[in-house]
Amino acid sequence: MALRFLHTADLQIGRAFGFAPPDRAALLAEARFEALDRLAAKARAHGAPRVLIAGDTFDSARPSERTIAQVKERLARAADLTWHILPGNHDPHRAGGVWERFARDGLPPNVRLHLDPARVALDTAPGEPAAWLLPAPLTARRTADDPTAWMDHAPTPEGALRLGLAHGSVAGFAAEDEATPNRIAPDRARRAGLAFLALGDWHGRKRIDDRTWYAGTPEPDRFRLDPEGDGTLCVGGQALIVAIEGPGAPPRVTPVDTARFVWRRCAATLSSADQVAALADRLEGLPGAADTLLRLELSGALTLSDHERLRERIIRGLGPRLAWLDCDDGNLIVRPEDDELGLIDLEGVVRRAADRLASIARNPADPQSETARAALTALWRLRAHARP
Amino acid sequence: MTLRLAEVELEDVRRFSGRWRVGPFAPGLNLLAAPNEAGKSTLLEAIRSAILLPHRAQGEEARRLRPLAGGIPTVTLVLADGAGLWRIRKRFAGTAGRAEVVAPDGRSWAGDEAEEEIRRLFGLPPPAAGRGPPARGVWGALWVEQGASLVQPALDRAAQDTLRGVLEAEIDTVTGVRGAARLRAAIARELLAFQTPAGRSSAGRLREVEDRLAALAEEERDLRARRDRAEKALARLAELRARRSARLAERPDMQAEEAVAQAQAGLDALRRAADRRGSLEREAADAARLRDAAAQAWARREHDIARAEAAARQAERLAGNARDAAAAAEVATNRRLALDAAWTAVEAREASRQAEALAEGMRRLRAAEAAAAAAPPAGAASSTLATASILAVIAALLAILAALAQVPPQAGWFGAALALLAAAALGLRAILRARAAARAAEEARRRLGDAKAALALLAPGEAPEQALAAALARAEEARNRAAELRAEAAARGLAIPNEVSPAERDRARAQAEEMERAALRARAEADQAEKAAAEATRNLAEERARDADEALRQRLQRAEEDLLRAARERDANPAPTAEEVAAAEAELHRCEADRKRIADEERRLAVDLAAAETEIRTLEAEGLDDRLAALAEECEQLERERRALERERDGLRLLDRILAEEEERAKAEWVAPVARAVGPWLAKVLGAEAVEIDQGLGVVTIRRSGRAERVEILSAGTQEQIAVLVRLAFADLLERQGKPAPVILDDALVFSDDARIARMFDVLTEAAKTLQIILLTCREDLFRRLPAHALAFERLS
Repeated sequence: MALRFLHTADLQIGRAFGFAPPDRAALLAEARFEALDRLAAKARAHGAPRVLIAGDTFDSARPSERTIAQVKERLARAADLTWHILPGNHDPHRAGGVWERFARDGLPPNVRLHLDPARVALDTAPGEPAAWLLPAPLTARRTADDPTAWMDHAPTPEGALRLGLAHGSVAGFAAEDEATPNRIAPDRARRAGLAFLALGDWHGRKRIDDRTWYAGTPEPDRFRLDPEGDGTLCVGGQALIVAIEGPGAPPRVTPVDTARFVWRRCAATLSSADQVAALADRLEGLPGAADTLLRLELSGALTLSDHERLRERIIRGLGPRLAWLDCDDGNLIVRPEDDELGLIDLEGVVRRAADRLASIARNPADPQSETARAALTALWRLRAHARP
Repeated sequence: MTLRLAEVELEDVRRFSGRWRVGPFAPGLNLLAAPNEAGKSTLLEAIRSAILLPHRAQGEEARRLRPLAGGIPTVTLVLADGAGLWRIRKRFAGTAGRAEVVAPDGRSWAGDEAEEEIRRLFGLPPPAAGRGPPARGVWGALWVEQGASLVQPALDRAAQDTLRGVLEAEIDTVTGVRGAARLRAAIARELLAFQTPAGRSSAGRLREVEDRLAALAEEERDLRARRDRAEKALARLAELRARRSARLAERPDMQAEEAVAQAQAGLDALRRAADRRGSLEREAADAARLRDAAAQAWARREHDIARAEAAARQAERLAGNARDAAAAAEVATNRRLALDAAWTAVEAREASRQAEALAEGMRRLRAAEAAAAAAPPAGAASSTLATASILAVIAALLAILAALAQVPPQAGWFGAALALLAAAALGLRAILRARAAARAAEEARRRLGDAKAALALLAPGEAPEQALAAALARAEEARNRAAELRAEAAARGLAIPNEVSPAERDRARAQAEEMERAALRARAEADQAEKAAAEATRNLAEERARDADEALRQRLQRAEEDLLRAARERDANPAPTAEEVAAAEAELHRCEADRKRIADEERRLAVDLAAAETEIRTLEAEGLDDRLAALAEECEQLERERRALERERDGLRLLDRILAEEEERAKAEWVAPVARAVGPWLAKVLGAEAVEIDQGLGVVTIRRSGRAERVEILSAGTQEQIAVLVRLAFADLLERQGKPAPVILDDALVFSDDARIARMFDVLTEAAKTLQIILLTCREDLFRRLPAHALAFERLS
């Protein structure tokens, strides 16, 4: 019988999503709490009696009391599972910090906090191979040293599986931040003789080698594209079910879906009515609109009428159907056509104004060109007033 | 063809009594030349009233129309347009006034409907409420009464509206001003979503976003301040815990406790040393006192011995003295005895002689007695004297006894004294008796000797026999006494002198007494010394019985040895100095202060730890970081929204501004038709190269020879010419918009010089190609050259 566990990380519970409208922000925040329930359900479904959280359970080192209490409540509720929790860079362990507060009124019996870099025997079920957990908790947001270095020399009984649990960036792999703290040696699993090194920090699932994996966040939390996705999907949304038959055996890693909300990010450069229509068709074709958060980053240049079409179909048409549409059209330029100016008026005051605005708008060197485009958009919208 | 005046009929209007007609008018230039007071101005007023004055008007304007000769003023205008003739008829009879309009097609209106139709025809505004004169509208500019043509027309509201409408209509096809105005109204409405109506502050969603951003900035400051506090509290907590760990390892409290114990022990040792020194000093002092007591005891003993010895010596000396005195007293006593014995013999002899004398006397007495039986006995006085003498002796003896009684009696000495006393008493008695006998004998003898009569004196009061017997007795007694004394003296081996004088005897007696007293004294002193010596000796003996001399000496020696030992012991244990004690006390205080400080630190540390934990708990309870992160995200999102909103608002503002600018340009074009109309005429009449028309549609400046000239500084004649040309231009504009615009000028151009008026006539002639112009003048000659249709007043009835 194999040793089984669910590997997850970066739940970032307590994140408040201030960028979203308040009602949507509340939903997104709640979804992170619910991720614990979904992880528990997945672990049960795959026969894993324990969950390893490789850091960043909380979004910050200072979550609210409610956040802490909710997490404890949900962990305790999954009484059939043992939760192994590691402090990450978002929720590092420090005096008076989140983990002290977490443990203040006692830990649920099924929760193990790993606050010291010290080996811990895993309470394996009968039939499971003996295993020792080597946790590498973080005590600061950034540490210069490799927090897993000590694992190389940590003794464990002969024949027992060695499981590493750490949080940080693996050196040599593209990390989220430019300056990469908490750097973990890419061959740590081999050097320390680990059967598996469960990592957290990178929000997308990532395999470093057979025995070294990032689980990614179980519930995505930002519009960051997944390099392995379809070009619109954002990172995260999965956990890993890991099974290890025994010493020397390669781990079997099975990703499972855990997300409630689908985060998508879509960048489009538009210059024609056809492109607007194609984009609208594509977005309308995405599944699960009600649980989809879409960030639309538009650039290019549209005629006044195409721009209006875009607003009609996507902003006013698709927007309300999504969980949230965050449209950034700051880089989308309105390009007035002469015949559009003619549609505004053929001559006279209004036409002369339109011509002047168009001339400003068409001159990118003019500091008012952006305002002029907005003015033209407004004029286009209000053009019916120009002629009775 | 627009409406033109065809004919005017006046009935009972001011100076026109009955029905009068002017007309028919030509479509172009008409001239009514007539002398003053012919009714030209009345004609103009009648035309104006027919169109502008309500038919029921009762005010000044209506009254002015009333005829001089009585009747109801009635005005009939006949107007022509392309379709035919319009007929307007008003009868100004106050409330009974009537109005009637008949159209070319035969339709007709009466009363208020007729007024309405007139307003429609002439583009007039509805009548204003109130009793003021009716608005003349543009007709005030086109129908110019006498003197009013000198200045450019002041356009009332209705005139402005009319002309503006005309001008807008004139220029709309090219400017689209109305569309722009509608757009701007729509923009203003849309801008209300972004800003207050005055545009000074934000409104709507933009305001919300700005306010929210400001609130967020405020909250962020607050959160950051609290986060800083939390961060500091966390750092403090870590530091406090590190300190507590360090303390747990070092246990400074125990070290301090130990230091205090050590200091206390040091101080205790010093205090014990001081105590020991004190007790040693006390012991030494005690030893000294014991030594002193022993020395004193020994000194006392030595003194007692000396005193006892001295007392013994003294007693011995005094005893010798007493013995000497006794011996001397014995010698003196013996002498006295001898002398007494001698004297007593004398006395006895004397007494015998006395008795013989007495007997003699008695014999004589008896003889005398026989002779003088009455002679007084002589013995009474003697007896009395004897008694007194005895008492005196007793008294002397008692005195001696009393003196002796002061000295404690001593056996031997006392016995001797008593014997002496007895002897003295005996002597004294003898003496006294002898003396009395002698005196009595002497008396008797004297008495017997003196005279027989004196025998009584020898025995006065006494019978001479008795006196003789007494004297005999006395002599006997003295002899006895003398015998006794002789015997005594003999016993003592004393030689008794044969003769003795009383003085000798008295001296001897005094000497003896003196010596006896001295002997007594010496004896007493010796006894006293004896007693004192005995006392001293007894006391010494008693002391020695208690403490033998040797014992005392040994005790003194032991005390001195003890003292020496105690002093040595004391000196071997010096007292700690005040400095040493002060230093030890200071050390203890320092250690105690240290201990207290450390305990205080411990307590403070515990308090600080609790405070830091509480503060962290309080500060962290709200989830500061989550809130800050959310806040930053919200700010970013809001900033984006604000930028978008501002972009939209700025777009609307820019659109509005540019529309406004274009509108302004168009407005400048509104007056362009006026300029276009009047410009060529001004060029022709005044040589103006350009003209500036203001928004009030007046000519403001003309440019001649490249120089701008403001109209108000030009001459009155030139100003009038400009005014007339502007009115013509207005009429031209109205005409072009198909509105009726006949121009009536009453007595105009009278200040023009010949050259100018010629050019004005040219202009009028040219304008009249499209306009109906009616000139009223009293200067027939001046206007003769004008090619105009001549009009005249024609009486109909």
